[in-house]
Amino acid sequence: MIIELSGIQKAYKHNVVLKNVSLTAKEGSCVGILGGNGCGKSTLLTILAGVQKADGGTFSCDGADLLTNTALRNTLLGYVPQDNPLIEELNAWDNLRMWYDSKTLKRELDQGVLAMLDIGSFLKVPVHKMSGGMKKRLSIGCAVAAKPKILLLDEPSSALDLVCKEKIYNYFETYKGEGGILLMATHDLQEISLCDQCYLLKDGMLTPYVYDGDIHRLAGSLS
Amino acid sequence: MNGFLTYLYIQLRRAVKLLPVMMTVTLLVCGCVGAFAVLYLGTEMAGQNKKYRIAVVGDTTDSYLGFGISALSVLDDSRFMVDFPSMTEEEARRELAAGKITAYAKVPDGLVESIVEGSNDKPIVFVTATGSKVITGFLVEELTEEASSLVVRSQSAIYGMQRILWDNGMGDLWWEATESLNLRLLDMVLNRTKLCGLEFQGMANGLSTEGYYFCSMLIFFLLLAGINSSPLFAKKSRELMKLLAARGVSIYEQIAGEYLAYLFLNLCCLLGVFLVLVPVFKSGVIQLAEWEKMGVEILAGFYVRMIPVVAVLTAMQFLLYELVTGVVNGILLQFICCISMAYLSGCFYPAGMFPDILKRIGEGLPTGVVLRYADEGLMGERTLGIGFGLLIYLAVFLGVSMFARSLRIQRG
Repeated sequence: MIIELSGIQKAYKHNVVLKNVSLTAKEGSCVGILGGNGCGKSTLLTILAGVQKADGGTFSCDGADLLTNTALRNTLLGYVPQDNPLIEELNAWDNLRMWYDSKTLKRELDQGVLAMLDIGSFLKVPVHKMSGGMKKRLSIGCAVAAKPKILLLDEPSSALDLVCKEKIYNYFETYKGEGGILLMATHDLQEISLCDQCYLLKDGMLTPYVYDGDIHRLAGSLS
Repeated sequence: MNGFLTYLYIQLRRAVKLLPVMMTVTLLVCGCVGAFAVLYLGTEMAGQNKKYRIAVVGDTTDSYLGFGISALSVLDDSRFMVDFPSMTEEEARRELAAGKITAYAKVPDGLVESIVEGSNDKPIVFVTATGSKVITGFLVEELTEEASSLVVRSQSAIYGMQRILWDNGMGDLWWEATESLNLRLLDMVLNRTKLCGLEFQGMANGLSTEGYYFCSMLIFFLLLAGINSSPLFAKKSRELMKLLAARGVSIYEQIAGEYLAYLFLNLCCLLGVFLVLVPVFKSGVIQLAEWEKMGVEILAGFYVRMIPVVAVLTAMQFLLYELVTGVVNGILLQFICCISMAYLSGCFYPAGMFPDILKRIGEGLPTGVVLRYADEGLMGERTLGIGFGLLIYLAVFLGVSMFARSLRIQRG
């Protein structure tokens, strides 16, 4: 399975955010999109997730267009936005029920992806009482309900403690190992280290970037 | 995501979780609104039972004048409405300034002489406080004029008759003729039943005062419920909306799901209010002239009639929360709209008291239309136009809500 972005463009009135963004990723890989704040990383992911419309370009999986084919996109793609898409006054179970049918939910909590994310331990806790890590794990749990082959992640572990990050990264490794493709917008060094290939998004242009552990060079590239 | 029904189920779960808090606040608000209504109606009733006091000052020693005033105070039907206490002008001025009397009638010196001489050039002067030229002032002025002309003219007639008798050598008939004319005049004055006929058309829209304020307070309560339900909207995740739209739950389905859950919540709260009203009505604390027999069936029927009203106001509140971001902005907007629309549409004072232009605006506002619909519901009437107006408002509110959300999602 190969995903391919080609010539993605987006502008807000006269502010051009994305200029002919193109990349490819194959199954079992993690692709990092690096960039400073407000450079358009989130915009790119929302376009791929179908939340926003692109002004031009294509996004395909094995040749099938995912920008226009909503049904296929919903089957193949999961999206974890930067802010958690959860209903605050409901508990984890109720939030998951939006995305899972009751039977599947129980099964996943017993021995599936939700068990791996350890969501069962806070199933009855209302979202407004959860920690940031719990919320993020729950968001990921919601995003992978349809067992997508492609997972879009917008700064998935920002502001989380090390234990939570560990749990999430372990899950990402498993996901990759099962042949999934992770496309991650980030500027976090730990997340970058998970990536098999990185791209730098700057001034609307996406260019390949090799992170060699030199944080000063990376900071210089981002600024 | 399993589509609209799952989303509706989740929204209903939210509504049910908020229900206990909402019901508690609702009952508190209901109590406050009820207390306000009872106090307001109590003041209104007290105002209706008040007797006007018109002081009579000046020289009233003439027997006929004294008798006329005494007849008005003691024998005439107007005694139930007006008192005519005698006092000095200084006292009258003081009492008028203190608001203890409505006005005073000044009988000028030499009034009787001017009548006897036939000149009638010394009229009774009616003094009232500045700014009291409202309906009460006009009524009192009219009443005083009526009383003064009755007294003065009857007296003129008696003195005129006596003069004619003496001038024509029939002085010996003086006593008999005066008595006869007196009796005839008294008969005319006292048997006229009342000074003027008053017909009550009700406060507004043909309702009794109690009926009108019952509907108004219900509408006001429903408007306040918009502030009460802010928790339902304050914690709404914009990210979730975007994600849902991307995952195939259209904006129409999102709005419909959230709106129906909110409507359910508001209907539950209104039901709570009606459940409180059952014992209140049964105990007779509130009695509505429109409902001869107060019972559960009548209240249940009226509750059903109120469903379209709740639907429109819920849609309006939904739209207001959709137009702004943040709970503080939402509550402020709800509060401002709630108070201003309730005022203009006549929830506090009947709209008929406003100038024409304001009255028309008030009637055309959603609150004006729902108030008319509720008023008609109370009277057991039904007008197609009002129902159609409700439908249009409902469609507009939901349509604009959908448009606002689509803009929000598109803007990212």
